[in-house]
Amino acid sequence: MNDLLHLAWQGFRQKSKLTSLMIANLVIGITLLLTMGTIIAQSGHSAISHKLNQLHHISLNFMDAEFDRRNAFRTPPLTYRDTQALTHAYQQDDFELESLSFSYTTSFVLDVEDDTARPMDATSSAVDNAFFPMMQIPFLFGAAWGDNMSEEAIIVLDKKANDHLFAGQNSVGKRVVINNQLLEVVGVVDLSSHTYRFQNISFSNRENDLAFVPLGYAINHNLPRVGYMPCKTKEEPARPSYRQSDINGLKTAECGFIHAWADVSLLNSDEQLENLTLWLRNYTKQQASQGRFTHLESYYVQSLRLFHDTIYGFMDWERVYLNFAYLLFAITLVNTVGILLAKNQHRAKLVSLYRALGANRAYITQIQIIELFIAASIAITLGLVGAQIGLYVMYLLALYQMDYVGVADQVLKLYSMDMLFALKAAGAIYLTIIIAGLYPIIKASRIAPASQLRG
Amino acid sequence: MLKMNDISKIYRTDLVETHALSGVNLTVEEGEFIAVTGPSGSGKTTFLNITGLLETFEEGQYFLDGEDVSQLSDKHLSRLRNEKIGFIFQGFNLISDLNLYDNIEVPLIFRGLNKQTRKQRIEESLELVGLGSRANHFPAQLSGGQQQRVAIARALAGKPRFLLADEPTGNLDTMMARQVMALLQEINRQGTTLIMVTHDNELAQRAHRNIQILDGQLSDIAKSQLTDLAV
Repeated sequence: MNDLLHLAWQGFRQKSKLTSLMIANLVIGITLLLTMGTIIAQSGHSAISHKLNQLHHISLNFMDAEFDRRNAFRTPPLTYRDTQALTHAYQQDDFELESLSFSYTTSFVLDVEDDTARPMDATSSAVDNAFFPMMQIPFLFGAAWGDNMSEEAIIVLDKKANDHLFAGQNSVGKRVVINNQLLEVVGVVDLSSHTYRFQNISFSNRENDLAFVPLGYAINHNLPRVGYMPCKTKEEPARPSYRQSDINGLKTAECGFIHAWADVSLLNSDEQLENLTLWLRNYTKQQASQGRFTHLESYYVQSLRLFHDTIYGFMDWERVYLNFAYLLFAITLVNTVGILLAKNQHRAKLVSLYRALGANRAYITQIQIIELFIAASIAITLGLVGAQIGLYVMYLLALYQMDYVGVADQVLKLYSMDMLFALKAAGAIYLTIIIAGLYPIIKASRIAPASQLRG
Repeated sequence: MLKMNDISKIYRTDLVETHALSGVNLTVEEGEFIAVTGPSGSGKTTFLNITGLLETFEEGQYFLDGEDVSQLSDKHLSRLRNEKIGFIFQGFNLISDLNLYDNIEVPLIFRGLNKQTRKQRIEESLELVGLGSRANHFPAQLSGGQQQRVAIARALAGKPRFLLADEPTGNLDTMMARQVMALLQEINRQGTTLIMVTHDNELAQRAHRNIQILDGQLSDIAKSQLTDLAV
């Protein structure tokens, strides 16, 4: 094997300019393809991608008739009043679902009792306990709170908050302070694989929740409401106080702040969605008699897939770049074939000489395979390094575009190498190089050596 | 040790059939030095290529050390080429990207010799051709005569029983040609069978035996006839 490697290495060094050109050509192609491919692939990926057709965001459009939603991400959340009606109907079995979850986006300063850690701004969610299993959020310590604990002073921390406040130790049973109130930690989750904050349909890739508090507790203690919170025109002046202080006013206002997610069964999703839609239609019709739901689109049931597709639709430029990267990669492969043919044309004489000196066809083929493997491996390795640098540059650009307000770790996930994609690209390169590089050698080894060695 | 019976070789194109060799019969004994002469296109090189297993033939039988080569696999033929035959080409056929040491090492690697044995043989053969101090030079840094000596060293390093030389002095000036011929004669004196194709009758006269090829037909000729031709 050492001798084979020795001969292959000698062969690799021959026509070094052509070899360098081939490697440089491949490195450029691989770098661009992996950089753009990874960005697109990671953007379309979610920790719950397997539930894209099961999870549905429910909205009742209480807004004025002329309200322009613009896109799926600006779908109005539910008002408190409609949330109550939907909850009641679900509890009365007016429609059947696997589960139904409500949440709103909040924010507070998270602190510890003994001042052992610096307080941190925590963008968070007020959720019910159905939220955790529905979104398949993995617990590192503890568990979600029970059905009857919705109004208790308890909290679930994300790993990042737990690392900051409790140095990554199991903090279940310990207490944190928010708005001068003590809350007991009942669980610690790891949201690192949730690259998008989809629970409030912002699909932000800048940051995710750092904590979860029970929805009942949040409403009772008037934890502020942040994020997208549309109000009917007549409610607009009161919106700032609804956000911060006037929870009682908000309960009766035409302002949406609660997001509802329905988890439908895989087996009879059509029937469940049909029944849910029927209830929404009937409800909006019945409410119309009170002057509500004047908008032509009075309700929306939108799957998580639709949101993902919409995000993908927003990535026009990235997709153009990806298509260019694919095109360039194809050109790269064609160039590689051309360079290999040029390099191996000269090889016909070498192959004949090798045969004259006593190498059999199989041995010559082995030398060539190893030589091609060396060239492809060098190109792929350099391409991976190039792609890693490319992704890092894109990550820095993304942070810059966000004015550095995004959480670096969260953003970095979208610019981390997709190894499966990289393996596929590497496989394509190995295959192309081996085929293009072996063919002329096998052909040359089948002709009588004498014909190439004259003169 | 080398026997050809009625060997024929035909080159075919769409329009023409060329009989390069017709019914060649030859026996070569161990230690002989045979010069093969003949005009251009007579079939000298084809004969040498078939002898060196670099070319196939259509008809006849060829026994090398008792083995019928037409029945042998590619692997077996390669082994025979590697172990029993040393080739010296008119155009040297050295690998330009490799230094002299690496050039000579190639057939020894094919044989599977260990590194130490290879080193010893390479140094011996380079010393024999007077290029012992040039192992790290590349072919382009040498004169034509020196390159041919490297090719001889490569052929000798494998300690072949047959040395086949195709116009070994064809690309050399007179002085260089004499040096190379002297070297080949010395190698033959040490016991290696030498078959040399040449169109130079003066060189052919140095052989023990002379064969002439005319229109693909092979015949033994006396040295006196060669002298006549040379005149």
